[in-house]
Amino acid sequence: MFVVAVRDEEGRSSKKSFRELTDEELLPFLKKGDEEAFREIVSRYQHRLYNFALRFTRNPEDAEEIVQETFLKVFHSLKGFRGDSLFSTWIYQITKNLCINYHYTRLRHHDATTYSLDTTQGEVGEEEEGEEQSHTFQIPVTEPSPQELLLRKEFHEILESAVRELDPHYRIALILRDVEGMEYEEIARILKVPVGTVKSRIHRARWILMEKIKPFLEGGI
Amino acid sequence: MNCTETYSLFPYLLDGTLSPEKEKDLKEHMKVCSTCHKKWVSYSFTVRTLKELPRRTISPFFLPRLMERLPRREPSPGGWFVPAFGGVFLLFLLSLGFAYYLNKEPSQVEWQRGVRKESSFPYLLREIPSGRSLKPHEVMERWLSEGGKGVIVIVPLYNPGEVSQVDLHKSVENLKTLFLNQYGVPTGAVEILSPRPSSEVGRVEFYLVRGPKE
Repeated sequence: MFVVAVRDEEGRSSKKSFRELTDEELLPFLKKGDEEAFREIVSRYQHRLYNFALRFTRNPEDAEEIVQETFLKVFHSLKGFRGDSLFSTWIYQITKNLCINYHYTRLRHHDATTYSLDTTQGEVGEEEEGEEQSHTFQIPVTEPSPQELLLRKEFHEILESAVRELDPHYRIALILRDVEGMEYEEIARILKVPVGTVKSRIHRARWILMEKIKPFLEGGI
Repeated sequence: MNCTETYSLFPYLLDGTLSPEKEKDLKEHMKVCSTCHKKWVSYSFTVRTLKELPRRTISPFFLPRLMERLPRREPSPGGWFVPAFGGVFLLFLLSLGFAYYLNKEPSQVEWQRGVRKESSFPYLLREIPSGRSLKPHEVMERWLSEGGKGVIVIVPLYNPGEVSQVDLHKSVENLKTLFLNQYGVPTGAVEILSPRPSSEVGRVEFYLVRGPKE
């Protein structure tokens, strides 16, 4: 257990372990190159960032590499971090940028599908006529049977795959909101766009996803 | 309220941020419009399922791999004097080490050779009570430097929610192989206890206790 002396706003000194410190309180130690402080930050963010990158890439090795790069960038850029934003916002910004770079690098190398923010795929507001009002998609409340578990797992894979096919900007906004559970304002700070843009991207992303998975939903859960 | 307006309000309905009047209008519309109702069920189901996607954990070897990629700390500035003095001191240490090597028992020399070969093992062991992180070969070097007395007791700690049983089992087996087979430590000199659950997030760490076995 590493114990450090910290001063509060009124100048009173107390002893705390690194684990008890906020990200911002850890910053001075990080800037000095304290290895244990760095380990603490890694332990706080590694799984969250990994899940974020994994949803984006759907490839565990690539996701881990993105998270490694994130922490390396944090390590090398700490001295230049002025604290204008929260540390959490900053670290997510780095991961987001690496995800976007990863996407375009792959596009260049693998001749993948091109994306456009103006896609008409699954356009919001598109109406469909003549369909019956008989669909209720419910995950069973009782203990699921092995077959249901299998179907659910299959559905999760289809959904994750559909997320991976989204435009990268939509994808990031959707993951941060619906998978990571972040507030719109925090996402706006990470993406450096207005809150309205964030909401619009998320809504459109959901709509596109909904259309993509429709055949599976109609087949029944 | 028309269908397009209804669709645009779905996110607000989901977040519970619609005014009571708007919400009532929207629900009234969905009662009579089967298409909108179906879209809403589908939309909310999609979002709910996204929230339920299983969380994955990063490899327990992520941290050691990351630490290996970090640059070593640069030496403090001291002009030409520090490296020159350091060089002389290093030469002195090397000559001491060589003399020590010549006087060693053959078996211990073998262990030291084995230790030297292993430098990139992914585990870091945390020593009790100092809290220092050591690599397995550093643990071995310390043990040898004390004449091979005492028992290295290793307690694997893991977070049941973060580390899979398979990964944990592999880690423990690898560690056993390393100490008992690769380093050639005699049975009894190293003791690996059963893994213990810990609240530590995402780490498989090995605690070292030195001293004679009780």
